[in-house]
This record gives sequence, structure tokens and C-alpha cells, in this order.
Amino acid sequence: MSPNTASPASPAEAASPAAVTTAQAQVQAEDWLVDAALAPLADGSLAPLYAGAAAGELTLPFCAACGLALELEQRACDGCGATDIHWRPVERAGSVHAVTLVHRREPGLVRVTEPYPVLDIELASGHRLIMTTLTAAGSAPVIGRPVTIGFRSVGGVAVPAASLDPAGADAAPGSPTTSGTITAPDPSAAGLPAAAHTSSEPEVSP
Amino acid sequence: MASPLEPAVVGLGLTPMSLSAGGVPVDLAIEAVASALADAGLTRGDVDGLLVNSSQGVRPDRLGVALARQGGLGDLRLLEHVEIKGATAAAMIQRAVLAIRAGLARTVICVFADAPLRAGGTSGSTYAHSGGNDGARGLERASGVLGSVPTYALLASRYFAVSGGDPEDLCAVAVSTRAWALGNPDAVVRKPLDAEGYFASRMVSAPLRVLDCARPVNGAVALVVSGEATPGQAPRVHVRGMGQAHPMRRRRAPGESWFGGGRAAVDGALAMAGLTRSDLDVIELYDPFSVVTLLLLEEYGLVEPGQAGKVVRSGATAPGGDLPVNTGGGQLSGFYLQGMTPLAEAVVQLRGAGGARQVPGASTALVGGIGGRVDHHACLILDLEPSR
Repeated sequence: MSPNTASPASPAEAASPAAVTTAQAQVQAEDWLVDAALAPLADGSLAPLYAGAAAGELTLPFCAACGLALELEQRACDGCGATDIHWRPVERAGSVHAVTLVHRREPGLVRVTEPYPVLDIELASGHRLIMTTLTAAGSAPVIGRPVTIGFRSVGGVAVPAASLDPAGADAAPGSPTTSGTITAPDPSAAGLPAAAHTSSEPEVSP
Repeated sequence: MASPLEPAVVGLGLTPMSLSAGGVPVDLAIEAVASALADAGLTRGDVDGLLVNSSQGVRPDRLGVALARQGGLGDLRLLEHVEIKGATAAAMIQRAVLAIRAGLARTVICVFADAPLRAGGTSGSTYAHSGGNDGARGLERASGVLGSVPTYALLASRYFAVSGGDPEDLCAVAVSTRAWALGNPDAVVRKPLDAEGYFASRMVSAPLRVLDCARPVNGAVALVVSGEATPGQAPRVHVRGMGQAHPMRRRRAPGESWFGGGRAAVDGALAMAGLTRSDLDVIELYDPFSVVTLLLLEEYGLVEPGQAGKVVRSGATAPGGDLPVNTGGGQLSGFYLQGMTPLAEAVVQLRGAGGARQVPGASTALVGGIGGRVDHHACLILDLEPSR
């Protein structure tokens, strides 16, 4: 059954232990969005991120010497040049920096039958991380909208995902999530909402 | 001993641009090289340098320096596989010019070939299955970021947020570029396009529709750069200015992650040429997506910040306008052969060989190449007059 056609569980159901167990098994089995073939390499170059995610932490790289937030693949600090990188848990909160609703769905890799959101999230730590939503969402949130970070499970690997509901921040990896992000697919949502123009970011000077 | 003349583009060769599967890069490259040499009035024996530009990613058939051997060339003094992603084509010309000026070679071929269209799958499918599962890309792919369209859609959303642009601006780029393609027999899409047709086209990753995306082809382009007098009939196209910029934008607050910093490449090229932006007759930009044209017009200082959409909607960039941009239909409607698309069109225009899409009197062109996620910029100022 497509996640987009599933009836959203009510919050009361989601909170019940029985529903948790059932939903957890489902989440462990299959992600809402992509096939298990897209599972990331958990013991590759981002191993600390995935190890943290498996424990319910959002773990990201910082310069061990000066504390600057680093990119995922950075191996030396652009601030001070140090090569000691410290991965540590950060607050699982941020806001939408850029957003798209993806309509093309590659057969065999993408499981949903409706468009799905991809977000560039600016985290409270300063890092920017691309992710989708925790559960199916038929429309894309506007730039600047606050989100909390939970985790999807793709082929058994926990990956960060944005919850548009504050309760999502408390979700452990693989645990059920609230239904707050599920909305009916809305064809008119294909274009960006007008509110996307009201960013608080300063104008970029070319 | 240095060559007697200022190095210039003296040969241009294009294969037919195919929208169907078939051909392998090495064969396409050999065909384009033969065509470029014939155009220059040269033979393989006149060549002492070869620069090769392949598509990114590890594909078993991608072009490499083995082309020299496979393509039947003789002994060379310069042979390199140049790689700065989509900026490579312009960078190869820079490399060839510098090598000739330094006396390291006399006549250098620069070639790119690609064949992303395969039997049994679309190019979109080819790209969706590329990227692997390690590193940041692996994490993105697990998050549904397949191929490059969602990435540029994120860029577009961010660009709109800071520039005030909207989908009407994207439409204007697609329509303007298509109008140019109508006059280019090498363009693969030559059906008239209006706003209604644009907005009826399939959404790929909002706000980017299929008509906002480049048209991949199987094909090749080769150029001959030489400091020798050559018998070809076409005018020599000189490389008066060259510049690169590799801005290290960071994926963290508070700066912009998606764009900014490319202007230095154009500033540097113009300074070297002793020219200003008002001297540019045609603008040929790398336009894998319509939004990139808008972005680069602003980033390269060709229009005022935040005005790209307005300028394109005014018709200035279209045929008959006073800021002709991507005059062969660009990568959107012409053909997507990465950095070779804008480079080849600039040479055609300066030679006066543009036929129905010729910009009258075009003698100075800007060629802009980008690579990665607009991370790498390589620019050329091409001119019918040699450098001073």
C-alpha cells in the first residue's frame, strides 16, 4: 500500500504501545520513500553520522581545534587548518533553507506514487543537510519553516529526516512518527509557495 | 620555439547530435576530431597536442588519454585528461593557449564526447542510478535526491528566495532559448515554444519542469587551437581573456551554499582582454537548467542583482534583443554536451556562420562554463582580434 493512500494513524493510536510495536516493525521493514537498494554505506566515510543516527542522535562534524561546523566530507578545517575532526551530537532542530517537491519517481528506486519533498535544512548547529520528510508529505514546506529532526530507516540504516511536527524530534530511530506531516497530495503545490520569497536571509550579492 | 602567431581556435568539428541510443564516446570523439581537422585544413600529422574532456562519473566507456592511441594520432608533446567537471571545456582552451604560448605545443585538439543515452533506458534513468551510496551523495540519494534535477531545484528555490524571481522567469528563459534554437540546424529541439507550452510541460522537481532541463545527446565536439598559420577558410577566433573562479562556499550558515563567487572568473577574463561587459556581443553560458541562466546573468555582473528575470522577460536575451544569450539554443534546446555547447556556439557566431541565428556583427563573445553545483567557473573572452 502506498504511504500516500494510507489513512494517517491518529496521535492517540501512535502513542499506544501496541501501535508502536506494529509501526516499528513496518518502519524497520521498508522506508516510505525509497527502496532498500538506496541504503547508504553505514560504515563508509559518514560512519559517525550513521552510528549516531542508529542511537537516535544527529551527529555532525566540527573542527576539534576551533569548533567550526564542517561539511560532511571535509577533512581539514577551513577556519584554522586543523585536521582533527570531532563528530558530536547536535540539537535536532533547524529550519528550511531550500526546498523542492520531486515529481519524477524513478521506477524501482522510489516507492511512492505521488510527489515527495526534498529539503535543505539549516540546523541549529549551523550545518546544512539535505533530507526528506519523516513521513509522506504531499506538499513542500516554505523556506524558513522550523523543523525538528528524526530518522527514517532505509534498508536498516537510520538517516536524518525532517519532521514538520515538533513531536517528531522525540522519535527514536525507527520509531513511529506522528501523522502531522501527512497531507493529501495537492497538485497545486507543484509550484513554490509565494511565501518562499519572504526569506529572512540577506540578499546575496553576485 | 614559440609559435609564430597568437594561438586561436582554427578548427571546429561537431558530430550529429543524436537523441537516440547509439555510438560510444571514443568513436564520437574520433569523428569530431576528423571534422575539426578538416575544418582547419589540417591533418593528424599536424597535431602535437591532445586535451580530453570526459563526462563525470566512472563509466567504463568514458573518454581518456587512450583516445590518442585509439584515434590514430602520432607522437604528441602534450596529452592530458582535463577534469574540472562542466568547466572543463573552457579550461581546456585555456590550457591549450598557455601551452602554445609557452612553446610546449603548436597545434592542440580539445575534445569532449559523451553517450548518456542507452538502449532500454532514458538519460534520466541513467543519472538516477548514478552516484553510489557513500559520502554526502549516498546520504542524499537515500533521501530521494536522484539525478541532478532535485539538486538544481533546491538551488532554484533558494535563488528565488533571495532574488525575488519566480516560475515566470524560468518560462522566459526556456522560451527565449527555444527561439534561438529555431535558427540552429544542430539544435535537437526546434519546435516553437510559448508560455502556454512551457507551463503545460511535465514538472520534474518543482519549480523545474522538463523544459527547464538540458537535452542530453550522444555526440562530440572538437576544437583545434593553433599558433601556426593554417589553411582553413574560417576566421581565426582568438582567446583574448581567460579566467577561473572556484568559490569555496560552505554548506553551513550564514552564507549562501548554492551560489555566489563566480564573478571573479569573468572579471579576470575581461581584465586580461582589456575589455568591459559592454564590449560583449554575445553571451554563451552553460545552462543545464533554466535557473542557471538567470543565476549566471546576475552572478557574472551582466545584469543588475535581482533583475535577470525582468531582463529575460523583456526579450533582451532573445533573437533581436540587445543582450543575446545562448544563441544556438543552449543546452536546453540545442544540445547538452556540457561545456562544449556554449564554446562551440561562440565560435560559430564569431565566424559569422550562424545562419538564421547569426547575431549581426558579433566579434566578441563571453563563454561561461560551470562545474559541479555551480562550484567551478571557467570563462573565455573570444574575439576576432588577437590579444595585444
